[in-house]
Amino acid sequence: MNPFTKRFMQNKTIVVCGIILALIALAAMFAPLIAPHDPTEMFQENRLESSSSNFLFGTDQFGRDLLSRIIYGARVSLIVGISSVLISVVFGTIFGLVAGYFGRWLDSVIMRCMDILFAFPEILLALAIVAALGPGTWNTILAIGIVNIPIFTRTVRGAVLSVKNLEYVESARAIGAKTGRILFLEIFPNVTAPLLVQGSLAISGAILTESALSFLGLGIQPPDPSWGGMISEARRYMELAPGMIVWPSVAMTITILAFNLFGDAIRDILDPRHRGK
Amino acid sequence: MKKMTFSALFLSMSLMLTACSGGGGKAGEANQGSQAEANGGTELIVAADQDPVGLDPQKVPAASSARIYGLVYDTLTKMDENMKIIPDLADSWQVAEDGKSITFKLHQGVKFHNGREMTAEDVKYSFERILNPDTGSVAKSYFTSIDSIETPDPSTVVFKLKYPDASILANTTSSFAAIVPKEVADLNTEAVGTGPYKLDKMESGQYVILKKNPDYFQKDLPKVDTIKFQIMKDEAERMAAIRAGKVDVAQVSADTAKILEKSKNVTIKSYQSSEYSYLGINVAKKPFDDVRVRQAISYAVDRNQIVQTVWKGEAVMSGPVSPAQTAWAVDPATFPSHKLDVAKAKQLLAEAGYPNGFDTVIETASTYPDMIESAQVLQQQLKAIGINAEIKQLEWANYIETWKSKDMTMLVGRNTSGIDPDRSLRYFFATDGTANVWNYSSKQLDDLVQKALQTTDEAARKQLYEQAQQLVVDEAPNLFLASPKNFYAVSERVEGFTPSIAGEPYALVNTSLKK
Amino acid sequence: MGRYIVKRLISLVPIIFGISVLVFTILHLVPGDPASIMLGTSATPEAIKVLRQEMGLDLPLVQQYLQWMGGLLQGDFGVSVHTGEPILPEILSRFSITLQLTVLGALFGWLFAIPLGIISAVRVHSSVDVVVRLFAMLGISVPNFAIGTLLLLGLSLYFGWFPPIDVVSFWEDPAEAWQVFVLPAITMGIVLAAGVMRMTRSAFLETLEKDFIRTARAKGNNQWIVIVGHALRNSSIPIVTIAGMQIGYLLGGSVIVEQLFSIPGLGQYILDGIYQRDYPVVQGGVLFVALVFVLVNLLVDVIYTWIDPRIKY
Repeated sequence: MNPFTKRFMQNKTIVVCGIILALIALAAMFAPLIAPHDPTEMFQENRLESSSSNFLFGTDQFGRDLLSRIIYGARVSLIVGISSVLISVVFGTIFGLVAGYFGRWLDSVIMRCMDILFAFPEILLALAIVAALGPGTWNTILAIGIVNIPIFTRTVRGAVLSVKNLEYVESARAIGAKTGRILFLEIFPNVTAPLLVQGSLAISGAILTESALSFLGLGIQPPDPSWGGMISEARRYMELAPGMIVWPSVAMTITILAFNLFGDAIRDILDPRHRGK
Repeated sequence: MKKMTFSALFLSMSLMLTACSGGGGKAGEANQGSQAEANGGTELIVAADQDPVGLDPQKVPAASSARIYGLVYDTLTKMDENMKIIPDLADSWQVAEDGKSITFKLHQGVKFHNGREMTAEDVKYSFERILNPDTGSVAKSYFTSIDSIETPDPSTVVFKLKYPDASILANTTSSFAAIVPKEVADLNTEAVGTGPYKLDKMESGQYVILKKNPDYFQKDLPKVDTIKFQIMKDEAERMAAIRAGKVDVAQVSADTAKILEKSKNVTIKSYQSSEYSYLGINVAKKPFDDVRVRQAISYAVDRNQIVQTVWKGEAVMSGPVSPAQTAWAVDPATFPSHKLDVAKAKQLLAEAGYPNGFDTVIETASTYPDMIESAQVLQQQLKAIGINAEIKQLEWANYIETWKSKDMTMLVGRNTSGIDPDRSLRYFFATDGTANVWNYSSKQLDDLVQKALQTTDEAARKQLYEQAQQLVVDEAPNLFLASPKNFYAVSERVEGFTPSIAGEPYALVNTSLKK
Repeated sequence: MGRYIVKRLISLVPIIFGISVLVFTILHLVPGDPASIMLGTSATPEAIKVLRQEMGLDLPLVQQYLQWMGGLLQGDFGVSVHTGEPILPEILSRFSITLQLTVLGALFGWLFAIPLGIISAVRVHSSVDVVVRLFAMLGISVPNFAIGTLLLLGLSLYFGWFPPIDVVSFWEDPAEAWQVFVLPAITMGIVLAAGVMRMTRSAFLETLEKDFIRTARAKGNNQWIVIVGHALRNSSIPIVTIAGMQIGYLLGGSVIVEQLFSIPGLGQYILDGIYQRDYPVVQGGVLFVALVFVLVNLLVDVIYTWIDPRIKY
């Protein structure tokens, strides 16, 4: 085991959060095998029930099994969280690398564009994008992804600026390496750490943004269960069937908590001197 | 058990909050001491879920506007809680023998809020304004039979009709047919009517305040000095507010009504509305151009599950004329395709050439939880016959755009069936009906409703409409799902608020507050 | 310093221009038409046409944009196509409400988060630290609309309490305004607290490791005096950064809380504008929020120099 991996494995937070996240991911992947019922099947006679042996977490207003919906919800929420962050990471990295490495007018143009996106109120921007594209899972992902691009661009650009004049980059340039090679082989590896940290935090942010869009009626489309959508739907039944809001909230809290703690812990390991940045 | 979970949830939350805020707000006593009451007047606070979008009664049909201008303006006639047409500004009316003219005798001494007396000229002006295409009035289609309007004297108005029109009298009860004064140019910003309340103050996103019209022509009405419509967009917020006694009247959903029933300072009142929820089908789109596909869908839908799930049992099955229109409606249970019959549905689909079903889309509005829930139940039920529908929740503006486009696929919505069957059938399903966005066109139906409109004999008319209802259900351009009850939560200090099909303004005028 | 501010202000011009183009474009890409929304499903095509003309929506898009921009340059935000009321006064009065909500929400968050963050850093890796961090993170893990709903329903059910229904500002009636804003502000504050707490903790951890603090601690000075005296000032830059970003973010992100509690703030104004396709309202509102956002960021940079005189621009 190399020392790096060792430090990972010794960190209790990382191990625990890693296990939790892995379990959630597994549950999401194998949802059809684990879930006791079809998440959209309506048991007419069992509406708004509390826990029972058949419905461990109870049922919702249609008589759908909450446990199954939460398991399938993991799928939707993780897909939304991870895919939208991937979009932000890809574009953020490209923009950030280009802006940071080439500097000058490219830098100003890109960064001004990012400032524009950044100054746009987040929820409203996502809402407007979804409204323009039409509702649906991929459009929601796209909207959340676009909203987060500026943060990643800034993160990457900052990292690039801090290494681009270091000796090894200079020497790569000196031996005539191609720009693309320098960017991706010499510089990019240095921005992976901040990207990883920022990414794990952004995933939880994305899951929350999706829930806000659901609250405004433009998140994931029913009957697909997303945790945010379930919570926003459950508000109407808070007093009739508290389980409807409690269980998805618990699932969401655990997941977001795990992502955040995971991100923090990685930051502490990779960059112990700059815990705050 | 449920109650305990909720308390536990709340308690853990409060603990967390006290930790961070040092106690939050004091649990102050419910405070009704508003300014109006401090001045000795009585004030009724009504929770409204939306801002009014304009106040011109002839132009703006939105419910959020109608509940307000319905109190500011009067109409020639109005409808009581039994759907009987009763006098309003017109004391009496006389239909000519040939059915081609109607003479209204106006109540004398009625004044507009600006002090001027209302005369036959204003009635003439109002209806001509409705009929003028440049106004773009929603009520225009109600009065297309009017040829000319005469005013032999200041208190007499005569409608000369192109042909006998059996529905015109019922249409004069519509709040869109309000009598407006001719001197006011922009009725969206200025509200000058003859009604029981005057517009006092409007603060967008916050409230609309109406003050009693002391010169209102009906004796001893209205009873409350001020009505304040408080804009509260969130249902949970309205529920919390009425429970804490901060508002007096709030329209609520069946779920909320169920919860509030347990609250001792709130009573729940309800009535059978004339609205119905529907699944609209674009008959121009494949495969829905085949009537058998539409019938199959109708047989596959279990309307009872929609009643139970979406409306918590507080609704009845409906046809194109809602059951609340007791004089006209055909009993929905008698329509063959209203009975769940999956085998028959499958057979029809197979005959149409879709033995394995198909993929399609259900569009609905994200604004209304009942529509989203109906869509989900429908989607689930259609699976049984192999139809896989994807639900698209559209935000309101987009929904209206889709509705208008005549290019939707299947769309879940809610209609107000109206008072007169002419609206219920011609307006929604005739080839040139204003709200026929389904590309549905049936010569047979057009003839039936036109003939019915010109038939003044009530029994004969009823028979024609029954045929029309059978026809529309059979051809299924829309699936009629359920007609819900409307619920109001009313605080204990309110007296005499009896919501009914006659509308909210009608109930509010007769409302008073306990001393 | 003065030159720096002027330079920054000039650099805002293209940003604001870009935002104006962006908001205009997105908004007009969104399907829907204000006239149809206002008139609803019962409207006739004639009615819609008439209303569109009245609203000035029949003009070509570029012309609409230029007209709007032209007005803007003269300080005229135009009128709402919906109500016909001028937009700027409405924005200002609603901004004042959102500002009060935001500041109170931020105060709640910070009052709670900064001390906890400090404790957490001083007792790093202790059980206190773990509990505090978990607690703070719970706040960002549950959607704030769920928290807000729970508060509203619970307080009305168990205490018969509900905030006053008329929104008054703090300069009109502080006691009443407190009751109006307390719940929504707590709901907002919970979300903020987590971010600030984390930032405070890590900033303090870093400062506490610095030599001069170690020296001070080694000299046997009372620990809390050391912290307050030296560390706070040294840790405040990242804290101010995130605080500034949060204020800016909240101004635009208060939408959900405003919607939930019927607070007629700027967020709700814009949201309603989006729903009703009231183009000038959304354009003006977003532009205003963006402007405030960039100005707050500028202010934060200026505050840096005040906290740490070594920073020069």
